[in-house]
Amino acid sequence: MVNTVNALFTQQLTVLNAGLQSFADNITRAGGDAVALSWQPPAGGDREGGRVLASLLNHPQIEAANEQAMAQYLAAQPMLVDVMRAGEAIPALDKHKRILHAGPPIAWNDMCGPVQGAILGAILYEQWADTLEQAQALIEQGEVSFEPCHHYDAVAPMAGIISRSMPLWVVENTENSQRVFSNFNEGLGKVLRFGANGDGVIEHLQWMGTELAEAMKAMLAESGPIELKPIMAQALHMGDEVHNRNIAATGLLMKQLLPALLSTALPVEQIQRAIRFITANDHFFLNLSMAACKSMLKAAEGVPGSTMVTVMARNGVNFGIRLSGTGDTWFQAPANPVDGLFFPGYGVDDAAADLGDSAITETAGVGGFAMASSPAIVKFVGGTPADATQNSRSMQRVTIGSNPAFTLPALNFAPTAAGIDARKVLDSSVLPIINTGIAHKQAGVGQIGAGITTAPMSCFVDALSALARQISR
Amino acid sequence: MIIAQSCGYLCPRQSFDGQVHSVFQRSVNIVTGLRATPWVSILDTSLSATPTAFQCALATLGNLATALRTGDGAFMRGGVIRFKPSRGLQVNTATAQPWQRAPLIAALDDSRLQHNLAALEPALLGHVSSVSGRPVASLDDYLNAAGLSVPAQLGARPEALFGNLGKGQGLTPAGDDFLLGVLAAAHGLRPLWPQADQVFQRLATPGLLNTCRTTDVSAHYLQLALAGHFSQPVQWLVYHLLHGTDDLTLQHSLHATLAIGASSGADTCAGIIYAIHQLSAL
Amino acid sequence: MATQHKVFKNLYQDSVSLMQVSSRLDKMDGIDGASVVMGTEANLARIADAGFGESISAKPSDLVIAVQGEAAACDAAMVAAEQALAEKPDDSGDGVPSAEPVRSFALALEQHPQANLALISVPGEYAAAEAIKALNLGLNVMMFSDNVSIADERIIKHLAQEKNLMVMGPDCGTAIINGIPLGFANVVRRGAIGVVAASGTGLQEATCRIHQLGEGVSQALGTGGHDLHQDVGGLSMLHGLQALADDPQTDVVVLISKPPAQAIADKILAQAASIAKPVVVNFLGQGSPATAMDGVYFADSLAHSAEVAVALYRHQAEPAAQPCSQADSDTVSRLAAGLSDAQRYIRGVFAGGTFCYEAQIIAAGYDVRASSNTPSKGNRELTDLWHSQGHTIVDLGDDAFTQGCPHPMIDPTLRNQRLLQEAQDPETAAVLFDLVLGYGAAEEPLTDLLTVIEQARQQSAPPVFIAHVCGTDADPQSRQQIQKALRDAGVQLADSNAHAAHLAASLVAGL
Repeated sequence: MVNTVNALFTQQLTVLNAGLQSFADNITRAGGDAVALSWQPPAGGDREGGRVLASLLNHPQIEAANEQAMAQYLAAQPMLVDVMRAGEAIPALDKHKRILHAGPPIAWNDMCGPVQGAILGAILYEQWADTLEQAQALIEQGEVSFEPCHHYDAVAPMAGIISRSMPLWVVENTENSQRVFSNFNEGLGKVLRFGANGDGVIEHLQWMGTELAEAMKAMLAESGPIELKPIMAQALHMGDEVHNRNIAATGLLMKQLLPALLSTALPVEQIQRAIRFITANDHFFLNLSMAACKSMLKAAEGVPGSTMVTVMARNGVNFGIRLSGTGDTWFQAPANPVDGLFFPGYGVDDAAADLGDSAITETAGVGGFAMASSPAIVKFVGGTPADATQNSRSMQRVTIGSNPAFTLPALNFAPTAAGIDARKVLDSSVLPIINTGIAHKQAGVGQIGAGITTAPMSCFVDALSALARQISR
Repeated sequence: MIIAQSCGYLCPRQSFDGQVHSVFQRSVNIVTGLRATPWVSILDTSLSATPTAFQCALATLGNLATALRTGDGAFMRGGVIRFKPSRGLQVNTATAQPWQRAPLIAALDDSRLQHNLAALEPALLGHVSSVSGRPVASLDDYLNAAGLSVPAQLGARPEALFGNLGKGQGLTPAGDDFLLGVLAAAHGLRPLWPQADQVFQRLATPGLLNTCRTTDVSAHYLQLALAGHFSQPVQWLVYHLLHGTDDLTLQHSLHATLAIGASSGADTCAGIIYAIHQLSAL
Repeated sequence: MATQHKVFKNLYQDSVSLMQVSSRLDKMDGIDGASVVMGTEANLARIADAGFGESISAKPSDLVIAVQGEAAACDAAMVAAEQALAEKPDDSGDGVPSAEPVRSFALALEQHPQANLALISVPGEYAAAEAIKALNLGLNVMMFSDNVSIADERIIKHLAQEKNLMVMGPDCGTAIINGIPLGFANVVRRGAIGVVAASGTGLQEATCRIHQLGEGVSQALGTGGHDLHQDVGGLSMLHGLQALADDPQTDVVVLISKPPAQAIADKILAQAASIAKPVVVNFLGQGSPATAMDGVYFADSLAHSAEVAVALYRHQAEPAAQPCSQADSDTVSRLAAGLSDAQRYIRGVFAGGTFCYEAQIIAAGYDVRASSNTPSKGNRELTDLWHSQGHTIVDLGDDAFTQGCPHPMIDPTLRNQRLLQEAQDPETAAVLFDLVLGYGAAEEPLTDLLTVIEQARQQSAPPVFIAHVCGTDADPQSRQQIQKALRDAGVQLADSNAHAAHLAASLVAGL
């Protein structure tokens, strides 16, 4: 074995300096090469977390696992293939009175206002009760169970409520035939996803579950499967980041779907109502963007040893993540506050904690990670176009690589940072950035602002600690 | 980061400060400055494995020659090879598994060898004919076409083969590859035939290999050959030729060797056949 | 009086920078006290104890500023603190646009793939993790950080061994690798003598002496102060010795350490005897063993180890340990002549811990038994740190003195105060001190020192000043100029720490 110490003696010395800046300065003055780190305690100062990280850095098994998970994520080809009733797509919903919600698991009593309001609305919509009081009683009797959407490979924005009669988009990854789901976007105003549950809300849901669902299904039968990645990629070049801004993507989708919709045998009025609804809803594509992201990340799940983040989601109280290598386990922490702008008349005291499965977009490398592509909304989410580009750049520090399918014109068409490596989050103390809408903390008031937030550090620390227990050096 | 899937058994594990020697579409050669392994390559998995190469899926990266340049720094730290100034390529060699070496042959069945040789030679000539579009009927035909001169008695004047050094086209000229084949055959037969040992030793006499007459890449492979190290397909072709009992396996290993370079594999194979004819006649 | 505090989230700064800010605030008019610290539990408790308030809540990665004083002054201090914290040194611009600071070794290595050594001086509680990271990334490590547990030190050193990398430290202040001084180190010429030392100032003294004698250093490796602890077993020293044995640029090896446990000493000496190069050993205060070992030479002092190594390299006879020559005796008589009857004691005031230790051992050889905060074998523990009694030799670089203020090598204020205090004591005969030069040490070590000496010499019965300057003419502070200035100020200079101790001890022994 050749002695490496002698290798150092034969190499030109280059020092990486962590700590006292003067040490680096002195090396330079003495004619040596030194790079001064702006060192910060890793893992936000969590010593144990820092130790776990140290043991996992440049670990051969993890590097190989991450490469594999990343390759599977990159290879995914999410296609919109169908519309199905939720109970049909997810049979568990038909068996019991079960309702899915956003984020990690949470008990009824702990849920935030908008999620509780939306669940009550879903019970009315399913006609399991006639009044809100009856619905509440049903829950208190333990008749209704709750589970995260992610447990059934589904994603849904804000409260993220899915019940058996709702229509779901079905997105299939043609690489492995895995299917994932998301609900339909209801538009803005008084809507279930912000906890509204009045008659108008339920009626609108009923229309979506019948007429709109039927139209969309017929349309897809005409058009055949729709590739989602190209729509997202194009939208990124047209000012969307496909999380908080979906105007371009919705337009591109319509461009593909309108001819098919018009060639269905449906009554003209039904088609007109569908088109009127979709064209009035700038966020119509959001749920498809989310499903596409879930599809790509599902492909990366379950690689033993991988520190790639496959889920980030919020339930209005806690922020939860999952890693590819730790399977179905959630790692949770209280959600970080949102730094944002509020609609007139509202302020930070009115805001619910961060909410929704839509952080799946950031997990997949778009949304906040692609902020550079969306100058139109940078003010909304805090700052200038320069900040936005900086955000997109700094996310390169926490990712395994980048996704050449999604490029950013503002960064000279550099691919978006993708595949969050929990180790890099700890090592750089850079937290993944999430673009988000802000819900009013009371059910049914709706969106009161938008901004950016970050994933809490302790989720990543806990996740890595769990992974470290599986790994040996 | 790219994960190297396999590595040659001579690949370094320790840190080095090297330089890019040459870069091609799907491969990079690095001069390491290490005494034990002064040269390592990073090769796409479609290329033949060598004792000093890491192999990984480079094809997905596009043309490497646009990312790296001769003279770029190449640094191995903690099993990861990084380049400077380019940051596009990082190769993690930590989990690369060494490919299996062909075992040494302890005993020889002469009739088996004659059978294998009789199968191999026409297959090679057939391949050369179809590639060149002209009938090549014999090894002599082949040598004439390639412009190579060989000693009538290998045992008498093996050093004459160095006269072919640098003859032919490409990174590894035909004369070099032919010599490499002779070395591979002689090396495989060393433990069995004294005349093979003698020929190998004479060829390995220090100072014979004038590296100025050929390319750096070819000189590297000849130096490895003189130390008894050959690429994976060549090792196994010699093994199956000397020891194999299955015609199909022999054909497979011939094709693996023929796949090296444009004509390098065929030239090496010709050297092997020539050497065995010569050595068995002694 | 008012107190005020402010917490900056996730703003880490090194402790020296924080102390600089603290001291700047302290000096502001109307401020009675200021504390600028990272928000660790211990720091928060400390500032609560200091009366800055109990209610400060912060995380270890947060920076906390607390001030006390007149209300208006507190406001001004807060503004000044924020400005001071915002001052950033220029980025080392290598043409690569890097708007963001490089926070980790992993990231730095991507940008500088040629890097091969991590120099770690972060707070001790984070240092072990940083060292493990660096090793896992394939970097050699020098850990200046201290307060790393012995268990962690073992883990780090075994990991390094497994990866065939070098670890110097924890608590390693000095090294010279490939001619580049690291940490507190002097500028010495390159040459053929390799040094491995468990003591920072010991390494500085040996390398400087080699340079002064006209030879040079191939590599000088520190092991850290705990390497020869029973539970670490001298892993770094053994590894360093082997590395120098394998290094074709090294012809002679010097080993320096306080006396280790016998089992460890045996292991090290066995390895020293097994290598094909001469090895000079100085286990401070421990002479040659009864049985001679082939190729192993025992030196009597730090400087002597350098002298023996140079002689071995030059194939000359080994020099004897410097005895007090006739010239020295004359000097001592001359100095003694000026003292009054009351002046009887030696007062050693050291910045270098090993110098303090070596001076005590040499004084003990003259039967001058001193009190010390770091007593050598047979010496007494100093009862009151701040007041000397009889013969006293103190190490001002020891933790007992440096809590919350910079090491006297960096900022000699404390040392100068103590020098004056000793000089003003009518019982002091000789003030013995060291002055350490080189990178990391005070850039202008004379500024206050000459004033203090001048002041003392104007007393009716001034004591004798005896000093040794550890450094070279190539250091950022020129040894030659500093020696001249001290000599002009009436200080008796010696060639080495051992020599200075001999002069001072023989002086007081003869009184």
